[in-house]
Amino acid sequence: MKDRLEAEQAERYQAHLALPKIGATGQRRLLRSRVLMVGIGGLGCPTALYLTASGVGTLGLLDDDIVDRSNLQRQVLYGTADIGKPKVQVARERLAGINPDVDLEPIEERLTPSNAMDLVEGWDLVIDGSDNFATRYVVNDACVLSRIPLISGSIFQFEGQVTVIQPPLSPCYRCLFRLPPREQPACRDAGVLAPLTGIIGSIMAAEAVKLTVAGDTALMGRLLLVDSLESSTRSVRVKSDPTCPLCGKEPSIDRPTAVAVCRSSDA
Amino acid sequence: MMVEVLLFAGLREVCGQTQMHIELAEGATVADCFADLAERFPELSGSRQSLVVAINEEYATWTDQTADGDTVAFIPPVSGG
Repeated sequence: MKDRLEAEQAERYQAHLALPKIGATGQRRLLRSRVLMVGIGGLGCPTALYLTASGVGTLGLLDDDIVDRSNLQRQVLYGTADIGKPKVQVARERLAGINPDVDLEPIEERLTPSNAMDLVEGWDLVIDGSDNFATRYVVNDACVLSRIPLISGSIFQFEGQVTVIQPPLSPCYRCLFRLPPREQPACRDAGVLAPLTGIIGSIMAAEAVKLTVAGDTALMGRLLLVDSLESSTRSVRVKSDPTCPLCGKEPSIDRPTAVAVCRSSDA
Repeated sequence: MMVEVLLFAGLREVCGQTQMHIELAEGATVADCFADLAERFPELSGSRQSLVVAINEEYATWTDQTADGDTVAFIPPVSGG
């Protein structure tokens, strides 16, 4: 990426360039950034759409799943004809037509304790839109140990949560939730309001843009709670736990570590 | 004294409501408040380590004292994506 924006880019990103808090400097930062999206499901689809349109430099698309008919109610990158195809391949094809500035890197893998450090290496920012607690703890561990900022978003029925994690500027996921709760069913089984995935995914994309441009963002150390039934939001300031086994004073976790959780399959 | 309790996600399912008012002894802590709740809804016991707690939308710990009129939130993580 050259230092100057080319004419077509100046036109494409005009609405970002008009924002004093982004401008040409911020847009160039975006165009140089490497962002890894974990999970290209209900949250990953809208997040990836907005990050592609916004002009991140490289967008990693990590998911090992194939498109299922039950995904189509909310996973907006996929259509009926895509059923049975790998999500990351369909997503890459759909996103490629939006913005030629973005290098799309499909990674058809499942993130596990053994490959997590390798998978997050080299990215400037990781966004977690995965669909199960096991992955969420492992993503958190890998990002905290690698000192990579993490945007974590999740949904359940009519509710969504978003926070930005980058110790010591914020607590980590283990500070907030030392243990996962008892089994939580997948979206397909528990139900989820389709547009809620767009709301939460868009908030995650917005946090990603702000964090990339400014190095800080409003949800760093705050947990945003969205209730799409009451159409209300609340946010709670959260603090690091000095006894946290990952980012506390005497950490005991030095590699991504599985937590005992019950199964959760497809978002 | 009375506190307002806000419940989220899985706790809403267990308790069948999003908020309730609970009468507590003067000086009751967040932990006391949750214990009172868990007495009514035994399924909640054992879930403390999976919750963020807040008083009046500010970070709180289990040993923080509540006051009359406070809003105490119990927030479990959700995992859907």
